[in-house]
Amino acid sequence: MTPAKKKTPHFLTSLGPDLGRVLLVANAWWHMDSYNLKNLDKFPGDFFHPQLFFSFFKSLPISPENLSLLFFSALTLTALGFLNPLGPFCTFIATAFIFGWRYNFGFFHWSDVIIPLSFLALTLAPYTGPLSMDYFFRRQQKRQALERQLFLFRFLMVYPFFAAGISKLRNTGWQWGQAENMKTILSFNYANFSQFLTPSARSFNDYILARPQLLSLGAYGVLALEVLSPLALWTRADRVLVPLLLLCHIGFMQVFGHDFLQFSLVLYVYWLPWEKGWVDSRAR
Amino acid sequence: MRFAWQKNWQKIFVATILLLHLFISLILLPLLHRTDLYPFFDWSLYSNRSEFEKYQDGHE
Repeated sequence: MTPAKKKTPHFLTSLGPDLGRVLLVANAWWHMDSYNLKNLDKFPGDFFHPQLFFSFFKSLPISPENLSLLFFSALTLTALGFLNPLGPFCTFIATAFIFGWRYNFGFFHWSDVIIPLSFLALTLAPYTGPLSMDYFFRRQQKRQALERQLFLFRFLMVYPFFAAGISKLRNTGWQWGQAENMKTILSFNYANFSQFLTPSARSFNDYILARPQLLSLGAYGVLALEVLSPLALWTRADRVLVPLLLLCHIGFMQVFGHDFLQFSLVLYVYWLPWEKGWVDSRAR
Repeated sequence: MRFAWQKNWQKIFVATILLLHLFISLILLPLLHRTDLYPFFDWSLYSNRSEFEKYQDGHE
């Protein structure tokens, strides 16, 4: 009797977690580079007064001098996928430390928190695919670990949208999408962020502001999409919702000048069906 | 052996985060707003901002 032929996944379908991990590292590197980490090293020590949630950073043995070293070595470890949860964990600590630093001076870069959170997700659900040192050294990679990681990242992408939706409903109520309210928001945005708008985006703003019904329809569409976005986690609606969310993301970027790049389009990578590509690192 | 909650961990996880979110935004923060505790930041730190910008090297 011949043994049943094992189904081996196509090489490309097993690349998901590695692709996502490397892109997250590149995103964190690029984002932190814009923070001038080298200049951050020059801060006098007494500049740092972490408050509330961040106060525990003061007790950590991290000094400004070796912060960059920790950050970049942790990023390298993560990108290589070596000793897996260690690299993401150190990156989480380093990025959270840097954000604690910046919050300290009244810069409310709250949306940047998605970067530390993505490394926290890599820590809580460690999995690396065939393009990693851990796979090379045959460390066990369970199928559940892959599923857990994919779920956490999908949740991480969907929840900010959902939170934005319920915050609109909570602060303004269902009237949020009414044309008058949207006109106020768009005019405020136009006045404050016009330097980020391309000429075509400006002409689109003029076009939509002159058509209140279309404006209201679009606003309620976005609101409904945001509130319904968690459905993508468990239902087949993801095939419709996720492309629409991506469209919204790019639309906000092009039309309103808010790039939300810290959300990093990287997270959309995790919505592809990578579950099919699980490979047993011990049974090669 | 797998327990029922282990099969439903995704839903339990999402429900926990959602409940925490709703508790903080609907109950905790409105309550804190009514007390003297909020804002709990030392706003005088904001005076450091101009000093901070010197180190930012023209960023933002």
